[in-house]
Amino acid sequence: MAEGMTGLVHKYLRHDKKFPHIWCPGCGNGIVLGSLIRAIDRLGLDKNKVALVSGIGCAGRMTTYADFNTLHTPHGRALTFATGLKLSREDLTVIVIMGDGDATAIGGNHYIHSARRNVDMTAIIVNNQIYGMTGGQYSPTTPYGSKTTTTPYGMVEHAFDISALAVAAEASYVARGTVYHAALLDQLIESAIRKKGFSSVEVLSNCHTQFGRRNKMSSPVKMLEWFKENAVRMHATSKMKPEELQGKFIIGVLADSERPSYNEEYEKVRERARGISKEPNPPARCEG
Amino acid sequence: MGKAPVTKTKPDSREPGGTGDARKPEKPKKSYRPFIIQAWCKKCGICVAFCPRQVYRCDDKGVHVDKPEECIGCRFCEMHCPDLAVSVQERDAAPGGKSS
Repeated sequence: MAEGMTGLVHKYLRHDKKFPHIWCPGCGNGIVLGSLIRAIDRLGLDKNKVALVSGIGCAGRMTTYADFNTLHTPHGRALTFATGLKLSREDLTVIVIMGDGDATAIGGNHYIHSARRNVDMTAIIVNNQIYGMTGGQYSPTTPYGSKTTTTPYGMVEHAFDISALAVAAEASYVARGTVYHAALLDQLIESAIRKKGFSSVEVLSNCHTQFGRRNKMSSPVKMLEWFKENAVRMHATSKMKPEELQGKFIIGVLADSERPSYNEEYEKVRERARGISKEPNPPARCEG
Repeated sequence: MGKAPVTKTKPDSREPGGTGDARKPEKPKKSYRPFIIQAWCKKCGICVAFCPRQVYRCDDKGVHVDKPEECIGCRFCEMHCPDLAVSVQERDAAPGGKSS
C-alpha cells in the first residue's frame, strides 16, 4: 500500500467512504485535503481532539473523507457552528473548511464577524472563483471579465478580496496560498492552526470544469500553471509597482498579530461574573 | 580592497568543500520508487505534466510509472496528486546501483 507522505495522509482518511472521491479529476480540493492532513500530522494533534467543520459546496465534502470529529453544516453557517463548538469545547482544535461562496456570499456576514470577534479557530477558504457544484454561476470572487454560465459576456462586477476582508476585520492571522504552492500551503495551515485567535487561510484552487473551461484553461495543468505564473510572494511585493501587481495573487502571510481571542475575553467575563456572585449584596437590591 | 575578501573566503570555502568531498562517498544514495494506486487515479495529468524528470507516462489505459529510476524524490507528485493516489517510496539503493 501507499507509503511516504501519501501513506501518512491515508492514515487520516475514512476508508469506508467511497474512494476515489467525488471531486472532478484534478480538483484542487484533494490537494488542500492532503495539505491539511499533513499540517495536522506535523503538529502532532490527536485525531479525537480535532474538529473539522464544513459548509456546503464541493469543499464541504472534505469532512466526509477526513477521519476527525466532523460537522457538515448548512450553507454559509460553518463558522457559526464552529463558534458554538469552540465555546463549549475549548479543548478541541476547530478547523473550518469553506468554499468561496460559503464564506463570502451566503456566509459573508459570519466570516467578517468571526474575524472581528477573533474566535480561536482556523478558517480554510477554498477559493475556486466560481460556484462549481451548482453549474458554474459567478461567485463574489469571480475575477472581473471572466466568463461563467451567468456572465457569458464577462463578469461586470469586481471580485471580493477574501484575505483583505479578514485583515480589515482584524483577524489574528491571515494568509493566502495556492494549490500549486502546496509546500507553502502546508506551512501556512500549520502556523494558522498554531495561532491563537481567528486564522484565515485563503487557498486559490482550480475549478477547470466550470471556471477554467470557459476561460481558456480547460485542464488542471493549465490552471496550476496560471497560479504558478501569477503568484507573487508577500515579501517580493514591496519592490513591485502597483501596476505590476495588477492581476497577480499575493501569497504568503498577509497579517500576523497578537490580539486576545474571544475565548480568552469570555473567560474574563466568566471570572468577573463569578466574582460578583460571590459578593453578598442582597440588601441593596431589596431596597432598590 | 576587492581582492582581500576573495582570499579570505577561499580557505573558508575550501574547508567545507574538503570535508564535503570526504563525506560524499559515505552518503547513502537514496533511490525512490514512485507508485500509483490505479483504483484511485483519475488520470488528471498533473503528475505527468509537472514531474521534473518525466517519470510518468499517460496513455489510453491510464497513468504509468515509466522511468522509476529517474525519480529524484522531490515529492511534487505526492503533494499535488488531488486523488491522493501517488506514493513515493524511499529505498536505500544497493551499493551496485541499479540492482532492482
